[in-house]
Order: sequence, then structure tokens, then C-alpha cells
Amino acid sequence: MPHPTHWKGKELPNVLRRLFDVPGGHTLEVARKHGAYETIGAALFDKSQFELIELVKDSGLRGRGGAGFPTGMKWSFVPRNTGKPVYLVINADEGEPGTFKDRLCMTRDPHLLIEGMIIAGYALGVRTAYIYVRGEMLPQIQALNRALTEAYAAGLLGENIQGSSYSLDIYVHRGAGAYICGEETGLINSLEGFKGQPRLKPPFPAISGAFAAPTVVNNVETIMAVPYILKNGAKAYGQWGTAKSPGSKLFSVSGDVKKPGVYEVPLAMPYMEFFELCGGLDGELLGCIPGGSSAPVLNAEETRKATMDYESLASLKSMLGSGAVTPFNTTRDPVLILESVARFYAHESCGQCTPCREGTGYVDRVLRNVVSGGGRTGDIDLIKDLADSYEWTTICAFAPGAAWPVQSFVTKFRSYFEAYISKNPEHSESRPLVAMRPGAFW
Amino acid sequence: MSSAGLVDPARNPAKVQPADLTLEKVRARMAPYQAQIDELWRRYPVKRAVLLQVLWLVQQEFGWVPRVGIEWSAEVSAVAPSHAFGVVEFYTMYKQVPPGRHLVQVCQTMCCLVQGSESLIEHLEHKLGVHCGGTTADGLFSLVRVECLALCGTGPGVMIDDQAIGPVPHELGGDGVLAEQHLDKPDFHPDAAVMDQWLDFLKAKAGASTGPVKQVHSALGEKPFISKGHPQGTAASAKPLSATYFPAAPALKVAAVATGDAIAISWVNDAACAKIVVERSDDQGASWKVLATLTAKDQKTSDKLSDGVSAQYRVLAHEKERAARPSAVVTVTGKPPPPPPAPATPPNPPVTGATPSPSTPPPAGKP
Repeated sequence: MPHPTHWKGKELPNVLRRLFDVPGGHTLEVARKHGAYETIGAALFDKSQFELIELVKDSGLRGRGGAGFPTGMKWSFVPRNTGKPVYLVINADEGEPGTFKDRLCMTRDPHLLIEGMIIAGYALGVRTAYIYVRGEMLPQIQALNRALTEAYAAGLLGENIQGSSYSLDIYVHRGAGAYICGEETGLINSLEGFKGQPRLKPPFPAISGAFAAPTVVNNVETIMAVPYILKNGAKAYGQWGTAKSPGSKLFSVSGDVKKPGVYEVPLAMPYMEFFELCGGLDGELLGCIPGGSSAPVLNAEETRKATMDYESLASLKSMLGSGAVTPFNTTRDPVLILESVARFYAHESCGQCTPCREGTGYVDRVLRNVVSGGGRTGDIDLIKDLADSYEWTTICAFAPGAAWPVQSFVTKFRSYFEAYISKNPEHSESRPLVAMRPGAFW
Repeated sequence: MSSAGLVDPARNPAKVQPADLTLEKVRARMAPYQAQIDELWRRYPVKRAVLLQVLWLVQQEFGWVPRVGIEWSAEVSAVAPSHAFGVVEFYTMYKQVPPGRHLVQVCQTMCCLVQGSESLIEHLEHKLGVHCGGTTADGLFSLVRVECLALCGTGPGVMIDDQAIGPVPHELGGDGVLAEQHLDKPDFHPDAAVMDQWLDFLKAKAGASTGPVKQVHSALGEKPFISKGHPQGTAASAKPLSATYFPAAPALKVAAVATGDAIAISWVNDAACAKIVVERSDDQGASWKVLATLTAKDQKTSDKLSDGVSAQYRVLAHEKERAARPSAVVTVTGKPPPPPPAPATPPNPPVTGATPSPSTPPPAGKP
């Protein structure tokens, strides 16, 4: 299914999906015919690091991996010319439930990622960069290695790129299956040969990250937007979206729409309009998870109000996250969805901080018991309490991400949980907590 | 790991280690990978960073990661065996017991759940005659439930061995290249019929062979190339970057605003600048005079121009040893002095030098 090029008479942005539908677009030959690596020349090498960082700051580009942190600002935190190496690490550990855009990017247009990395590497003083790819994505690792081999052969990587005095090497690092390695300090630990457990911050990676040197960790999609900005300027990138959320973004749509897939649209498009672009909703909307499983769920009314940008979702106490959009209709059971999400977080907690390690498992066990018919009257408050207690008591953003779906589902779809509980004839008896507590499992 | 796994000897790593597999034998078997290991050593500033990658090589060779393979990986990565063992335990993709010839992974998370993962898993358990986590008696298939595989649009997500499956069964990585057909078929969703075709195809392909196999494709991607590595890597030949591979940073966003005869000049410059020189030209840029010499922190200065007199300004940024190209030139014309203040004194008299905002009338009639 080719990506739509126009929507309601207007051209859709073509920053990231440029080669998605072009046969052979992953090869250097075809990619170059479509403008790949045009910036790797005077456009880049006549610029200073400062100009490039200012350019990215001016473009308003924000991190597309989930947190939405301004990319230019992240880059500006890196101390330059200290004599220490600076590392650029691409986060391709895509694993937020609902997200599948980076898989497509790496398969279809690996050269755009490499081009973006050359620009970012030049701007930050990076000599060696790594692409940390999720272990399950071996076909994507192959695609990247093929593209890197081509780029080396064409003098686009290695020493003295295109005759300039800049040298960059890029290596692919294969992960081995851990959601937490998508957290930037967990990713750095995994790159260094440790368990992927996040580090306490500060020091922030920009000061002391990989191998105790300044490190920038950026998502695949973030870096892929950089060549466009260098070629067309910050203003051109701002033609889409809002002042605070400029540009375009890839959205991975699954759930109850007619045509799920990866779409590139301007930020700030209303969700309901976006669903039309995706072929329309299947059935009657009950709710929508707007930014991957960590993002607090929206009910139907909120979804109708929301637009796809950082501020609109923040005002609804949710988040744009990684751009994974999962609407679900009235035939779906929010209790089962939350049970699945809670199990996911219990499984993926790295085990480092007690509140998260024990709390996510506790919530998972209680919810499973509710679903299997053992619900008790106080259970909704119990799991919400648990989520509240691990939300901000750990060293990384995993625990809040695990707490938000719990808090939002039980608040916005409370009646569904009550219905499960009231089916248990003994629901008013107090829960035998001992059997659910962490200690009972060790 | 659940306690149920430990009760079943086939799933207990402690019970499945081949008695005759020694460190010497692993070294000999991994010897053909030495060129690849040398390349990995070059790529990172410390040997420890290759640990995850060499564990992948062990899994490629053996089809799983035996304990002695962990010991060997620790040796190669210059870490303690206990460190390597902890890493293997942490990541889910290292198989500590020999899996079947083909590993079938079905995603059970949120998006796949609503797309019917539970009924697909039930079908597969029935067809293969094993529960999730188990391996078929003929050693051909292992079936596992996994969390999100990033296949949410074409769910339920199913991977067999190293790739997400598409509708048409084919030999997995037969020529060393993995293809993901599902990317071209957004309407494709693995269902019971598709899975039956895949399993029957793979069964016919395997013939009488069972058990874990050496993978035909590299666990670290196709055709690993030979690089110069990281400047601090073991036996690497890469040279570090020179400190001046880029031109010196010019000042940006130069602006000059006239308020009466006072000219406010502002710009942004790199914090690393050693010296900033602001220059003025009264002859359309033919000649320049130094107006001010400043530090990197200042980023503004001022001048005076009488009514109707124009001048050009530019900013020159200097590093310790290099000068940046001059900034863009701005032209500004002095204005007549501002009109005398309105009779009603505004509550907050404008700060000297600030741009007056004539569009906002002073609040009238307010206390």
C-alpha cells in the first residue's frame, strides 16, 4: 500500500518517507537519484559545529523516541573540544508496544539515517558512532550493514569523508532482547557490555555517557529528519506543525482502523482526521492510546479533542510518546488491554529498583486475578495505589511509563473493572494480600 | 525464570550442559570467528563492549549458549565469567537451553492481543502439541510467547527464527539474506492457515534433521566489513579527529535595532569563542572600523546614529588561533528621537534602551 501523497488538497510531508515506496530505495544508487547524501559536501563542511547546532535548535526538532526533548538543546549540552571522544549512539531498540516505524525506516531508507548521522556526528565532534539495534531486528541489521558497506565504498564514511578533514566510523551493535535498553542510559550500559540497567542521573549522558565520555543518544527518526533541515533550512521544516511542535512525524497506527501502518503527517493533525487518513475507524471509538503503551489512555471524548502534538496531549495529561497510535472500539475490553500492558511492564522491568520490580509484578498479579474472576472490591484502588507508589520512586522513566496506563485505565474505564469484580460472588471479602505480595513469589 | 521451568530438566540450564564440552573445545570451534572478533575488538575502546556480540556468535555457532560458551565469551571480552553469566541471564534472546530447530515467537502484547494473538497461540499449541515455552518431541519447533516485537500493524506478530514472517513460506535466510515480506503486505496478518503453511513447509524442509542448528546467516548481519575501528580500540588503526576539522564558528542572527539615535546590536556566538569584534562601516561595507572588542558572553553592544544616518555592522568571531568568516552584514538607520512621554505617566516607565511598543496604548483609567 503506497503512502498517500495528498490529504484534503494539501501535500503530505515527505521528509522521512521519501524512499519508503521506491523500489530499491535502500540501495545507494537509487537513494542518490532521490537526493541522498546531497548535504555531505560543502553544505556541511563549510559549516561550523555551532551553526549546525543552532540550525537544529531553530528547527524546533524534538526527540522522536518518546520523551520529545528538543534535539538541538540536547546537542548543545555536549562539551566540545575537551579532547575526550564524543559518541553518537542511535537508539534503534524499538520496542514500545504499538511502535513499528523504525523497523520500516531501517529497511527502506538506511542511507537517510547514515546521512543524518554524518551531519550529527560532524556537529558534535563524533569520531565513532554506534547504531544500537534491537536484537530481534536481524534483517534490519543486515540492511544497515549493507548500506554502511556501500557508504564506505563511496567515501561517505571512514577517514576524510568526501575529501574533508572530517572522519566518522559507524558500527552496528546488536542488542539481545530487553525493552529497557531503549532507555538511553540502559542502552549505553548495554553498548558497554553490561546488563541494560539504567544509570542514575546526573551525570547526564551528554557529560558522561558511553565509556565515560560525552554521548548523545538519538532515535532513528530524529536523526533522519536532520538532512532535510540542513538542506531546506529550519523555516521549511517549520511549515508543518505548531510553533512548539514543528515538523512532521511518523505515526505507527495499529488497532481498530481500516488501514494500519506507518504514516508521515504534519504534527498537530487532529486524531479524528488522522483516522480518516488511515481508512477510517473500525466500529465505534471507545478510547485511544495516543503514544505507545506508556502513554495514558484517552477516552473517546478526549480523542476527539486531541491533536497529534506534544502540547495538546500534555494538556490532556497524556503524551505523544513514540507516535504509536492505537485506537480501540467498543467491542474491546479495556480490562484485558490493561492486563496485557501490566504483564508487559512486569516482564520488562529490569529489576534494579525495588518499587518498580516488585510493584509492576504486584499489579500484574492482582489484575490477572481480577480477570480470572477473583476480583475484590478494593482492587481498583489497590492497583492505582501501587502505581502511584512506583510512579516517581525509581531512577528511570520506566516506572512512570508503567504507572500511567494503570492510573488512566482504572480511572477512565472504571466501570469495566467494576463489572469484572462484581462477577465474583466473594468480591466484598477482603483480598488475601499475602498471596499476591512480592515475598510470596521468592 | 519461572520455577516450572526448573522442574522440567529439558528447560533447566544446569541439566542440559553437554558433559564433554570443554573450554578447549569451544575455543577450537570458535577459532574460525577470530577475524570477526578482531574486528569487534577494534570497534570499541574497551574489550568488555564486545560481550553481547560474541555471545551472539556463540549462539550462531551452537544454536544456543552453553555455559562453557559463556566462559569463552568472558575470556574474549576480558570480563569475569560471572559478569558474562549475569548478562546472559538479563537478556531474553540468549538461549540457555537448546531450543528446537526453529524458534516460533508469538507476540502477546496489547496490539497483538486485540488482533487475536491468544487464539493463534492456542492453535499453535494444539497443532504442535506443546505448551508455550516447550519444544516439540521431534525437536523441530520451540514455541514461545514474547512481548512486543514491533509488528503491531500486521499483528499478531510472529517471528520464526530471525525474521518476521510474511504470507508465503520460504527457506529462512537460505542465501544468507533475510527478507521481511510482511512490510510489503500491510493487509497481511498471520492467522492459523498461514501458520500451518509455514510449519508444514519448514517441517518438509528439515526432513529428518532436528535440534538446534548452526545459523546460515551471520548473527551480526551480512558480510561484516573490515574497518579501522575506534581510535582506542585494540589493534585499531583509526586516527582521532583533529580539533579543527570544521571552520571557526561565525556569529549568527546579527540584528541592529534603532531606538531614536541609540542602536542596539545583538547576535549569538559560540560559547567557545575567545574574542568577538564588532565592526561598523559608513561606506556600504567598503571599509570597516572596530566598534567594540568583546568576550563570548556579551552577545550585544550599542552604538549611536543620528536621525537618517545609515551604517552597516558585522560581527567577527575569533577562536584562539582562527578567525571565523564575518557574520552577515546588517544595515540600520538612525531615527528621530522618540516623542516626549505621553502626559499620563505609564505605570511602568520603559527601561532605557528597550524598544517602545507603540501598538500597545498605555492603560487608561485603571488604578
